[in-house]
Amino acid sequence: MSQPLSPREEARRLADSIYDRRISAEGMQRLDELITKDIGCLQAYLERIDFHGALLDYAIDRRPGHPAAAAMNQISRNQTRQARRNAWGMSLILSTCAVLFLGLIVWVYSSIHALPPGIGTIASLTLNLSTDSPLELGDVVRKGKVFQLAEGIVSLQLPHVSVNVLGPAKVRLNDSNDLELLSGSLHAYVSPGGEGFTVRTADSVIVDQGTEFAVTYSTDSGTEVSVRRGRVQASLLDRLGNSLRLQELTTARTSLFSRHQNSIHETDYRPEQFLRVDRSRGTIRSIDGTLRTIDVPPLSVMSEALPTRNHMLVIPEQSQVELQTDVTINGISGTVTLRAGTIVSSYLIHYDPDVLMTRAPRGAVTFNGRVAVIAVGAGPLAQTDDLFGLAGTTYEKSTFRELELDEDEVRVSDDQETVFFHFGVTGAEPLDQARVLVIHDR
Amino acid sequence: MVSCSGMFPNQAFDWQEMADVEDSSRETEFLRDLAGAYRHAYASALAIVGNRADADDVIQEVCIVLWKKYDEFERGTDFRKWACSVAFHVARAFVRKHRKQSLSLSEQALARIEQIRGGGSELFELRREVLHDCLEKLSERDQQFLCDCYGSPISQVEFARSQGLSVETVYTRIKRIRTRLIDCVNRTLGRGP
Repeated sequence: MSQPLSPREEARRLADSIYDRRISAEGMQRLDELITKDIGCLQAYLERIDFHGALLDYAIDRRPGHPAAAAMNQISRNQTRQARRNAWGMSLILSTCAVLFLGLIVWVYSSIHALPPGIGTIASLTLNLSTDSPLELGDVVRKGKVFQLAEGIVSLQLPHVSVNVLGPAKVRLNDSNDLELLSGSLHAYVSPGGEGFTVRTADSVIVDQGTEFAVTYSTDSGTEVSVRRGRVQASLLDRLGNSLRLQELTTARTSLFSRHQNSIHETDYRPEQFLRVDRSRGTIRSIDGTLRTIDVPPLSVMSEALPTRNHMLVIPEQSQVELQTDVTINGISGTVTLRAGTIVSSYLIHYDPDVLMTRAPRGAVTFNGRVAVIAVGAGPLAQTDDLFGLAGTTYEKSTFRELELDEDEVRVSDDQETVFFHFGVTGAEPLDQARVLVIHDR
Repeated sequence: MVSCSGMFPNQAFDWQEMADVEDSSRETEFLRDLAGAYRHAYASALAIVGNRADADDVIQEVCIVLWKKYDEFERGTDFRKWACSVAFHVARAFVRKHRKQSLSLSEQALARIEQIRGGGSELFELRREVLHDCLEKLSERDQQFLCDCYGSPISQVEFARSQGLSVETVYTRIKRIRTRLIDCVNRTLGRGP
């Protein structure tokens, strides 16, 4: 009697089937289940697929020419034809108007080589991000840039304005205080000095007057504008871009702008519209290095439940809650008592590398608030799990989750708004967690 | 060493032709970068789509995207990482587009593949090095069969037909060679099955 296959061996065999295009619908479903639930199966699948890729390379290596070159053949031929046509055209132009030609060259050169001005940076990315072009934290975003997200959240820091683009969405940056929402949703937090920040959709223009607001646009439904706090002025536009109607929206109000119906319709304010951004960012101002946020609360942060290889996760937990009683916590800088009435946000820093980890991550996170406590010991972590943890998330109870301060480095900036992390990667149990409590002014 | 050359006519790349076109230095630089990153980008695409035919389609699109966006690529940064990232994105878009017509993994599974495969390639590189040594230990006949089977752009069914063999014969033989190679790699790396 044959032995039942281990899940990893099953994943390997299904990888063979998928490569050979012999996989059944049931096989595909089973493979999906295995690699989604078990990281060991996922690694087994990847190793086996890479094995097939290596055999393919082995066979193709015997071809004359490089495969990359073969792939580029068609592109190069097209370009050669284009270049020859250009050369012929250029010679005609030269023979008739040398000065115009030189002017053209200068213009073309400057068009190609002068990059549009930078107007902001990428301040935060979620783990599940899927975009049309690669994005990295700290990348400069330039005037005219178009972002297209299939999923996840990208946070842009513009002068005085934080913009969160929520996938699926498409956005064009017209200028540092002007952007166009082509589809999907965005959230804007405008600081003092950023008044006048403008969001355009195909049928509306929303001008900020110092606020936090969300805009959702689709061709079918029109534009929905929600103001969490502050004030915006929003206009319904006709097809030529002329303003048809104008409405001012203030705190906790939502309106739907529809060109099809030629109407502005005020609807119930839905605070849950802001929930996704709150979950992702909380009161994080920016992150840097190998840190990522998450826009869906994890079911579990126990050991091996949420692997992070070469990055750390910042998981927003409670956002701006008011303490009902005094709370005393033993943190990295000693024992701290937070008085009843204090407004607190909490964040779990989570690092759980798998066997394919190659480097220790480091990074920093800056909050809109003052870091009061960083809990790194098993006891304070367990204590604060109960007080500040997420309701639907299972937390690790073992003591190995605590930081080993001889190899894990955590420090706070002088202004107490930024925390720097550099976690070590030795030890039998790689899980490292810390909880940052940030306090806010009323 | 068994050579598979001769099976792939018209694959030679005319570097001179490429060098003759306008702005040759930029294009040459791109091709040099692409040559270094190509296999990694291909492996990234293959991990998402799972089979060669689709990976071939995806990599064509990846090359075009990389070339179109090459002016936005910042010199001195990691081209390979960028190319792999583009390959993941293009491959996932490909899967989404063809989901109704063919079997495919869920978005969640694809995201996990990208997350793990994109995170680091050192272990895969090590396995490939060991595999290369194991390939050299195969008989010439098996090497040739492997080259014929993997190097051919046609499906296994068409390949079997072209060789006058049954599909099962081809599949059984290729499976036997794969098993031998995998055992060799695992033995060398000191790992069990």
